[in-house]
Amino acid sequence: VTASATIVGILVAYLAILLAIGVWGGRGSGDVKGYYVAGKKLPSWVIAFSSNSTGESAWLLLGLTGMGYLVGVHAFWVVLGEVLGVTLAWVFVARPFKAYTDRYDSVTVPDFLADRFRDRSHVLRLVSAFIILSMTAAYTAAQLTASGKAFSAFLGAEYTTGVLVGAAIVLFYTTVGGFKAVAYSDLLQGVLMFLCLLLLPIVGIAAAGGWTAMLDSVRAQDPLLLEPMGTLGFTPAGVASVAGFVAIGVAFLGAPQLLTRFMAARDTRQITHGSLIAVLCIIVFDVGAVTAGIAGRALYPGLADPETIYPLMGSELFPAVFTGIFLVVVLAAMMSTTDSLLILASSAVVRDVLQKVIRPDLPQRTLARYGKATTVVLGTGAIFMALGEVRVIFWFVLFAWSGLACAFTPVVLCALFWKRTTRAGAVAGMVAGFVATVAWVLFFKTGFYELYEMIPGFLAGLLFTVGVSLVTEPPGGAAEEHDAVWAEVGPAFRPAVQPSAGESPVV
Amino acid sequence: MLAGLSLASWALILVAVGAGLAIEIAFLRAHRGRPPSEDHPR
Repeated sequence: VTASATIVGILVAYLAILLAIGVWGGRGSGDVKGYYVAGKKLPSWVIAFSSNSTGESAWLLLGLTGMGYLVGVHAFWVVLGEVLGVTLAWVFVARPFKAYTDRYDSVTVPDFLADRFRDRSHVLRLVSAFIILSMTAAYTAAQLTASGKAFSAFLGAEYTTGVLVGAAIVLFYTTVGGFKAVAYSDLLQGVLMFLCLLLLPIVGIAAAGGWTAMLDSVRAQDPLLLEPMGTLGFTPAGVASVAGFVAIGVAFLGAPQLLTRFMAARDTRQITHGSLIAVLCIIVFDVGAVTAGIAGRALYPGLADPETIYPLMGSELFPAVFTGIFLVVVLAAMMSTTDSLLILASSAVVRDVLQKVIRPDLPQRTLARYGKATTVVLGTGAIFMALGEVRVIFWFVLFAWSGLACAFTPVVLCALFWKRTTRAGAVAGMVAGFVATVAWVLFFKTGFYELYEMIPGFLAGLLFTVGVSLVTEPPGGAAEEHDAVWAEVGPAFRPAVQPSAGESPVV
Repeated sequence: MLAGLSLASWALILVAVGAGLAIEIAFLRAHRGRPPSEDHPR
């Protein structure tokens, strides 16, 4: 059996499993709640792996390993930001978000916002849908681009073939199986990513001659690669780089594609149990990717494109059977993000616009069918973008990641933690966060040491949410509801105490 | 230098991994033994 046949065999087996998950998930996707949040029945380990593998796209394997290769130990600032982001999301955000969305029977994040702020004008839904669609379109296309590149790098196949094969599989199981198939395929994909990023740095360090030999080799290339501030040092550019790397983790606190996992959990106990899995998983993901990149720098110095270090190590350091698995893992990382973005965008169209604004009278089965059709249309659009002349590259992943996060995170955090937040404040915060992110990239970034757009975007969103809320009135009954939710949830670090009559709840 | 890396680099690595873990362990300790009735059923 040739090496290529082995790789193709592993690939076919993996894709067959995904198709089977799609068919299996399809049994529960006949209504809106089943199709978009799997009937809110997911267990802890599924939401934990699904959340992390959605948050970590093909960027983790190709982009973050490339960053470890390019900047060395400095890339551990990304690890700090992401580990803190995931931890804080599970410890502080997940339980109150789950309690609120259960109370409202929300299916989407805009559902939650519309009910939290009693938005009968649908402004929040429409603004949310616009932002979600605009950001997920190119984000999805970037993931399909990664699929095309992975096929080229591992199999020498045509880029177009890689895009089409990746897209066809992910579209099938997402359309047929809905969120249940998305979440369970994410679990499989997350486990594969976990094992790969556990193995790759160990083999990489061993191939470089051990820990000390690896560091010596990197030090000989540039000793600053082994320093926390990297080659930039304590300069404004170095500080901006650190702030940007840490800020990548902010998105875990409020990006809608991640919050959907908390909403779909069976109950809050699943969140408590899932938090440890999620934190350990993100540590292995990130430490593994950065360390593999550093080992790659020792092994293969002078690469023109650092983002090729992962496929290079996968094909050079392992036998063919593992090379096939490494290709599958890139596809897994790509697919676990693409499926979630597609279903998020589909929910924005069907649930937030069609069902809630245009045609509330449509039966559930019809809406679910529209949801599936919308998923296909959006996925097809992403294929055309990925096959276009201008191929979407990884910087867009970080841009879209921050665009979604800056529009939603400040508003979601204020909605959960500050009872004084108003509808006008939420609308202003969403628009400001989104516009600031786009404007920063287009007009200001190069003049401010390439500071990552997440920081101005988040700050603008927070400033506008708070500022406008202070000069407008919160919706009637929202404060009492806020107190009731927090009394039910309890504090993160003390056992919950139910307040007696007349006593203020613990917040 | 310790095992080939400066103390500052080790500090960054330890904080990157340890800060989240410490918060998570404190959270789990606070929730250990919490009766199911205190959780919010759907």
